[in-house]
Amino acid sequence: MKNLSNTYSKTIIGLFYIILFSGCFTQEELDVEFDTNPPIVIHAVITDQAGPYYVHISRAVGEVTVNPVNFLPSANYIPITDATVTLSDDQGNSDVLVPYDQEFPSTVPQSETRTFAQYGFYRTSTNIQGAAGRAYTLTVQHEGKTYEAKATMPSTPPAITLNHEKFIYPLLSFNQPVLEENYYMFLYRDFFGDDPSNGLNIQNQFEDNLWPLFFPIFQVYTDQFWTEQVKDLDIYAPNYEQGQPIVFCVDCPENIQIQMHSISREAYEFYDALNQQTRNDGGTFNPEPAPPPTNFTNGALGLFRASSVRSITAPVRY
Amino acid sequence: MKKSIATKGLLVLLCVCISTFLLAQTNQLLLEKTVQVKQKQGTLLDFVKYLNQSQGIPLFYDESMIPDKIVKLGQKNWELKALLNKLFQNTSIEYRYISGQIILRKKKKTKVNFSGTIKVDGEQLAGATVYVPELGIGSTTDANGYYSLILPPGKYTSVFSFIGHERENRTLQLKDDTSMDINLSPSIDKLGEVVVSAPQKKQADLLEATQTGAHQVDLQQVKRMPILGGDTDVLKSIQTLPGIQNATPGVVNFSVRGGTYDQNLVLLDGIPVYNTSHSLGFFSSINPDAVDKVTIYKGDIPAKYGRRLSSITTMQTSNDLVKKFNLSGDISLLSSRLSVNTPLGKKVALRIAGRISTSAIANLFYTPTQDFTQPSRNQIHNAEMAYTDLIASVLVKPSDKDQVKFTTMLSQDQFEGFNVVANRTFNWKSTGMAINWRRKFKPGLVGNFNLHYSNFQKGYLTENALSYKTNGVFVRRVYGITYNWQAAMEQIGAQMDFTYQLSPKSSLNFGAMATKHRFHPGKTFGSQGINDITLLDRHSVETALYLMHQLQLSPKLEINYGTRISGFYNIGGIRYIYNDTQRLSQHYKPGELMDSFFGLEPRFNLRYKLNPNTSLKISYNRNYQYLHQLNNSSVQLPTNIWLPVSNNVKPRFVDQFSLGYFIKLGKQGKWDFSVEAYARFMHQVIDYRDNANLFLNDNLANEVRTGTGQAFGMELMLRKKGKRLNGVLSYTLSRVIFNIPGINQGEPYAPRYDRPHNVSLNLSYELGRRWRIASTFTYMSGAYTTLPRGWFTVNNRLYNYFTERNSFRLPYFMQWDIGITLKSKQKRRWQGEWTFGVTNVLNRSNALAIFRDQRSYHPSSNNLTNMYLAGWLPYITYTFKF
Repeated sequence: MKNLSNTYSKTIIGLFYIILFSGCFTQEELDVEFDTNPPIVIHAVITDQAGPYYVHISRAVGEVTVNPVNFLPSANYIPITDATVTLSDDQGNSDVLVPYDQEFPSTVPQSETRTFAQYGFYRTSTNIQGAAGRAYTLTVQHEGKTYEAKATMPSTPPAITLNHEKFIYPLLSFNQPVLEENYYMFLYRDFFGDDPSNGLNIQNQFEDNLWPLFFPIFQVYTDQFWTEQVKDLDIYAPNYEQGQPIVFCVDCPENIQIQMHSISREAYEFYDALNQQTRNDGGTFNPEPAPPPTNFTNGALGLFRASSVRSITAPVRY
Repeated sequence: MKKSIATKGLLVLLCVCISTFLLAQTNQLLLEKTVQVKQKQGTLLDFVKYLNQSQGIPLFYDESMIPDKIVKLGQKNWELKALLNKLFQNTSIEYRYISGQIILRKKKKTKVNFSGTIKVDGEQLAGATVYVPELGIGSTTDANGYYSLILPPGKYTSVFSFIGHERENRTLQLKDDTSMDINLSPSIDKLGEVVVSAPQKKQADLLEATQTGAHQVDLQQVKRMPILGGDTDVLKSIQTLPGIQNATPGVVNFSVRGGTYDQNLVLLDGIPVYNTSHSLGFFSSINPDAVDKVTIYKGDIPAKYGRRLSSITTMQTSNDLVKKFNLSGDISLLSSRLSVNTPLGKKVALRIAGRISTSAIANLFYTPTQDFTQPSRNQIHNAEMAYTDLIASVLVKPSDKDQVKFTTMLSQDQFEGFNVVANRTFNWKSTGMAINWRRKFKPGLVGNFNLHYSNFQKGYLTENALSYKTNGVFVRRVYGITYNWQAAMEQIGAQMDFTYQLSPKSSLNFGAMATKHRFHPGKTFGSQGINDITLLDRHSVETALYLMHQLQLSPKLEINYGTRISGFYNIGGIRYIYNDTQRLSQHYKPGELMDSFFGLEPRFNLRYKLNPNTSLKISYNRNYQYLHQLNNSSVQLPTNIWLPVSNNVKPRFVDQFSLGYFIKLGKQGKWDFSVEAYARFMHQVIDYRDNANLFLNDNLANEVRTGTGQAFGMELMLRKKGKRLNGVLSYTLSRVIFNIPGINQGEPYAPRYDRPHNVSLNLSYELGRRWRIASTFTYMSGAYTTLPRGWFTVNNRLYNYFTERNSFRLPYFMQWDIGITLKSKQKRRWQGEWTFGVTNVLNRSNALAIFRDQRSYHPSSNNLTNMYLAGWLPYITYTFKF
């Protein structure tokens, strides 16, 4: 009896909370003008690791049209395959990028095989090598317009030590310089061994330099609130997809690769704005939505960044 | 015989005439007579007695009338006339020579003070009227029921009146300062209604006052209005007044005449209340039972308040000494209120009014746990919200001249949201204290002294936790960054304010205030993933001097002009200087003056009465504001912190021009109608740049952009006050435009709350003696919002891109609420009222915000999500008075 009344009271209180204190939500078709002339989107990364480096160029869309698949929803953007892309540095080196003709990994459930080039990817053609402290310029020419962005590569991120004691995924500790403003980006991917029939191992098939242009989960940090010693940093994302937590360890990864990128302030602001967007509620509780920052000229969206990378592969300990 | 009598008579007459003439001669001689005084110094009475008794001067006087005054004489021999002039110089006595005698009497006054109190059942009435029809002069009683008029002597009829009470007509022969206490009795035709709470307050007479843009909130009417959950809310009801708008209906934030949310100040007995809301702004933290009088000044802020650009809302606790104990309260779905009024002896009264949210009561018995943890976005599931507040005031009236009031307030909140507030558990608390001393120094001079303290503390814990069920047990994993955040702002200050009536047609209001702010912009502790950081406290002093002169130039024309001079000083701390490439910082020691700012805030109001029932008003105001609130969401989050101006963010100021037309209609002025138009020019307006970073950022310079703004509008209001039907119909037409370089690509844009058309109709109708029906209807144009223009792909995920700020207008807002009240039978000591109501009868999904849900990596639809507060919702409230 006690149980029953408790359930009853819980229900009442629960309903009370939900009705009175939650906003109610409806999906609505509003008469909203979609963009009929969407801008070009350029996303490019040069690192201090060995080349080649990749650039992804596409055109935004006013509205989504198809139910996309997990990787590369090409129908929801228009790949741009005929742009002239030039990467140059402050040492006088210059590289005209070429379409990336590699076949897209076969495990992707697409009816036809496509190359990366067909999705709008370009790669460097010379052995241009990124280095910390250098300044780079990326120029994209397409349909008579020139889009340009400049980026200077920040110094190399510090050495990382791992702590496996708390969780299955290791926590990160490092010492970072306090005299300058530093911004960092963290990416990680699981490795599931060598069995190619395992669908999840598609992540293994992207090169180290290409992968940062693919992985949708990234964390960016400013050292504004850090002292020199950073201890036990947890970089793992909440792993929410449509509100459902991914159940841990159905297919247990064996190794984890962690990449720490040093990024510039503008890159931090760009990725931070993207992360903020996923919380967008129209400015009620969270800040009003705003155009994400960009370092490209001429109205292009996106970012060109130069990052110094520290990559570490560690076992996942259960 | 007859002849002899006639002859005798003639002779007698002749003698009389001659003697009269001779006497007259002696009179003249008497005044010119030289008298000797034996002493050079003495009281006035000594001299008068000496002259009368020793010198045989025929003096007639009343000893009690002779003032007790020491007189020094320079010489011994005087001409009597000169001596009398000397003696009675600067006294209230004059002398007259009549029939050989010198009569001392009081001088006739040129003006007399007519004062007293107006009471009902022994309780003083504030806002009652005394009117002298012969002169067309009137006054209202102050908070203590005290009135005072300065009149020339004469014979007058005076009329004492108060709404709902019989008029009292008195005929007066005013020769001297007169005091008259009047007891009014309730109108016979109102007997059916029992006045249970504090007396109904009179609305400020809009026709007479020179002030424009002021509304006295009719609390009785506020309590009758249906509202979400049946929880009476003063700040929400203010939003039905013309000229007051809000981007997010249902929250207590509001914009007055185009100003931003942080340009409003609420004062509770002089305590600045920075935290006006409970539960992230959905309920106001002011208990309506605690206050007796609420007035909002829109733009045209009286010089004695100042401090904000757009509005001041003053709330006053009781100024009446209650005679007997009474208890009142109500219970609604959302909260329960209880207030106690009790006399403590003859000169002291206490009122305590408290409120507790139903959820706080529920939480005492039951804490929601994982059961409601649904990881669905933007819903305040797993919400644990609770609030309490308490306002207590002690009123002491030691004498007729003094009134001292001690007020304290406490308001406390807790709010835990799952996702909508980013996994944060908020708690915030505000406390305040004030002492107000009011003293009548002499007729016509009243002083108000105020000491106030206010402290607003807030904090939250942010913790990203993932709960999942393993073997039937919830496992909670904390990931990412965890920290506790805390901030506060504290204020302590004093004000003195004087009103001095120079003549019946001229009065001064002057005073000074100083208040010290301590801003604690934030610190973190117990962090994981970041290191604890503490931003330095900032100290500032705000001062003001003001003088206003109210002058009646003719019975039709009255002006009120003057100025406020405000100052703001930052004391100690770090000053940032930006040059092209870097940021330099200068350190100042505690107590060292860092920056100072001054503002001259002239004010001018004019009222012209076109005829006894209509008046025209013109006003100009300049206001300065030295505090900014960091806020770029549209609800009142406790994370919104206040910061002072600095060398990088300059004080804001506004020029407001307004024009008003007021008319009383119908018999006894039961209807009134007003039109006000305004134009406001805002300077140094700030807004946040796109993607501004406000977290633990005490230096705004990089995050804000400065520009100008203009607001124009017209406000129409029709009000009916009657026995059965009471109501207000208002319409506002308004526009606001900001021009801020660096925002919206430098193009003009409108803030979210800019709604051109606003209609509001509040009605209540007494159905017989026990039933009442009340209705609120609101229509507003949609608020502005920023909507995505399209999608772009980064890292294999779709994101939205936006272009112009606030370029899309939401669908219009329309809501109709009704409530019906059943009152218990009269004549009982226990008075109860049941109210049943429905909010949002039309069941419209009025948009609070429209946005695109971006939880999914690969959304399949372009649909937008409409967030609204609730569909139709019934409520029930029980109110009691005992």
